[in-house]
Amino acid sequence: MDVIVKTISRILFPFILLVGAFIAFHGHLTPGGAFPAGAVIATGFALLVLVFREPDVEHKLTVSELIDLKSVSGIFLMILILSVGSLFRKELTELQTPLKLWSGGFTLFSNVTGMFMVITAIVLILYSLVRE
Amino acid sequence: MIPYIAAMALVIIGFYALLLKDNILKKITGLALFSNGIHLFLLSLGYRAGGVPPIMQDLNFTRLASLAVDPLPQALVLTSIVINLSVTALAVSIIIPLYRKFKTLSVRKIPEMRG
Amino acid sequence: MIFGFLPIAVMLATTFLIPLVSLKTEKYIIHTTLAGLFLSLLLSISMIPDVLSKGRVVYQMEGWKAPFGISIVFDPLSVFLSVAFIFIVLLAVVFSHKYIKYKKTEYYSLVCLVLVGTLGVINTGDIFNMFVYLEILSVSSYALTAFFKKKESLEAAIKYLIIGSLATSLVLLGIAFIYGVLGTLNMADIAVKVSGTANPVIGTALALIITGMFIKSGLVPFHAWLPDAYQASPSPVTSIFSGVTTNVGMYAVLRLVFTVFNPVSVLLWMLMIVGAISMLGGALLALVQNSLKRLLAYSSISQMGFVAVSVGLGTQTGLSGGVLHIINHSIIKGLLFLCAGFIVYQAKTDNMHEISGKFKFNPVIGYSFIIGALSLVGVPLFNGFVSKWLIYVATFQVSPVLTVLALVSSALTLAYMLRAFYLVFLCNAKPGAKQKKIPLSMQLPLIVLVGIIILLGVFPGFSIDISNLMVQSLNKQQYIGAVLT
Repeated sequence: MDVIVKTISRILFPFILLVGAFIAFHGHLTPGGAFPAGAVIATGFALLVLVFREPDVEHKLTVSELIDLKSVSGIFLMILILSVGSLFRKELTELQTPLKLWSGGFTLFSNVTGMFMVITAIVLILYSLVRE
Repeated sequence: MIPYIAAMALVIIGFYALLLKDNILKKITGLALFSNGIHLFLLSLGYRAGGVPPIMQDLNFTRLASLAVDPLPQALVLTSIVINLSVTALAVSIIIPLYRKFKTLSVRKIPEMRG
Repeated sequence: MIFGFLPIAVMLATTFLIPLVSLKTEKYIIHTTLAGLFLSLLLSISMIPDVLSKGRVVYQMEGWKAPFGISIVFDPLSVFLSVAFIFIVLLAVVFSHKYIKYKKTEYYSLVCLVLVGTLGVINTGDIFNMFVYLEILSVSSYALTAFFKKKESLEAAIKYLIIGSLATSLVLLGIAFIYGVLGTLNMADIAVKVSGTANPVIGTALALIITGMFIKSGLVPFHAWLPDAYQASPSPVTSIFSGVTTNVGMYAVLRLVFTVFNPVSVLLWMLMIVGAISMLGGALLALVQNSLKRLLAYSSISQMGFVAVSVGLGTQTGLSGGVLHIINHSIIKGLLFLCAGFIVYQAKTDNMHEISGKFKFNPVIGYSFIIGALSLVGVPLFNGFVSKWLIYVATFQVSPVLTVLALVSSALTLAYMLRAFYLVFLCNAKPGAKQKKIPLSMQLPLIVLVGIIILLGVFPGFSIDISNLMVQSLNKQQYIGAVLT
């Protein structure tokens, strides 16, 4: 690909990550949440895969790292729901004030963990479809 | 009234493509159209004329509940869109080896198992 | 509350642990899977005393109250079905220890996901939650069908995918209509609000949802995906399909027709007619098959027809015969498909005319196949007799024509099972065939299933009591009373 395309996409990629993280972190205050945020960040990775060749991108973010991330975040999400949802609910809601960032129970953690799971799923599909 | 007509039109067009087209990829596109029509129908069930998005600016619950559109169908449609994304991805990743083995994408020429 | 979600949570945790374990070593994948399955089985069995004493146990997810939150309902029907299904998957996983040699991580995670989906559908009390778990179940089974990347597996998987996605989209359209008219998604709340006048929109919604569930169960006008998907998938996966995933559709039909909506006579006649066509059509088509797994697939269609006829009668005997036949069928077909896997493991082919002489005759496989075949027909002393006798008695009380049709289907079952047995085992076996040693992990599930068939056949009172208990849990008023307080 051309030099201009490569430079601009290299500059643009962190901002795409930032937009996706914003959508996930404010999932309890604005529209969005885990799924749209994961889709936006996976589109950022799709941009990288299209512009640079696929082996270079996979070298930076390998398949085994992705599988680790998916499994760990899945187990973390379930422990979160089982423990916080039933045992620590009262302590957690007393510490929070409504309509601020730190509010809404454990929706914040649930959204961020869900974002990681969606990213790993879509990027794994992307790798296996583009691979030679 | 108009969103319902548009949703049913999407459903009918998607169903036609799913049943009567010969190419497998066109059938998968028809399936995506069919499910998007159902999502549009489900979303427009929750519409209220002159409503605001269901986002809380201050802690006044009753005023928001009387003005906002219904947020429950939005959650249902979000879940269903993600499910259909994964089904489409699975379908394409099955079709790629299918094309390599059969060298054709036509539904009439592929079936080997009959009876 | 934690405890309601725990059987499903344990299986989900196993699904996520398997890839983590496989990145370090490959040896411990099957130990992880078996540990998760045993833990889930113990949790389900420990729910039984609670459910038997209290009638039904209801948990609300995350503490949200009844019509607004998602309820998880355990009653005798769902608990006994869960125990039976987890047991079948456990035996299939033990069988596939030596059958599946590569890509083990994907295989075991997908099998655990199938079990997560079925446990979710059976135990939930909210109609959209049922749709989501049904989709989890379906997508994992599409991926499992295409596991060996042969020509016929890919073709069967794409057929199953398109027809199955159409079915769940129809279910979603029905749920959209129900939400538009009634405004709620909780099954008990729908049951309360629907017992007024007859609304044509709700009739349309119910027709769409039941059509989607018929497509998933493989009843006759909608069975086009079933023989290909059963033939082309690996044999332990086929025994999971016939034992677990097709029965989930019939469970959903039972729950929707009898507990949530009123069982009007139009619905029951539709069930009886579709069931009768499936009984005869499946049995007739099974007579002309050359491939063992395809013959057993058409036999599954026929047995699902028996269940649909018996459920469509609406009487106490009919319902308990149908529900008992679901459990008996999953045990018998699980056994028969594992036998087919045993044969295919050695002979490397499925065609009954080419099999003779290619596999080593083993007493285990011989006795398992003949006992499974006799139990499928309904010979006394095996568990198929108990459910088939209940079905004959129930159909005779309503209309003797159905009894005649059921007896003709059983006779056809005897015909094709005897043909299969003759062609596979007794037909000019050439001596001196190459003989591969059979591992113990493949013989053990067959022996356990044969033991259960004989036990349930010799003590029939046990099965009849359990099936009566399961039918009582379909009572509408008690369901509403337990969930909405």
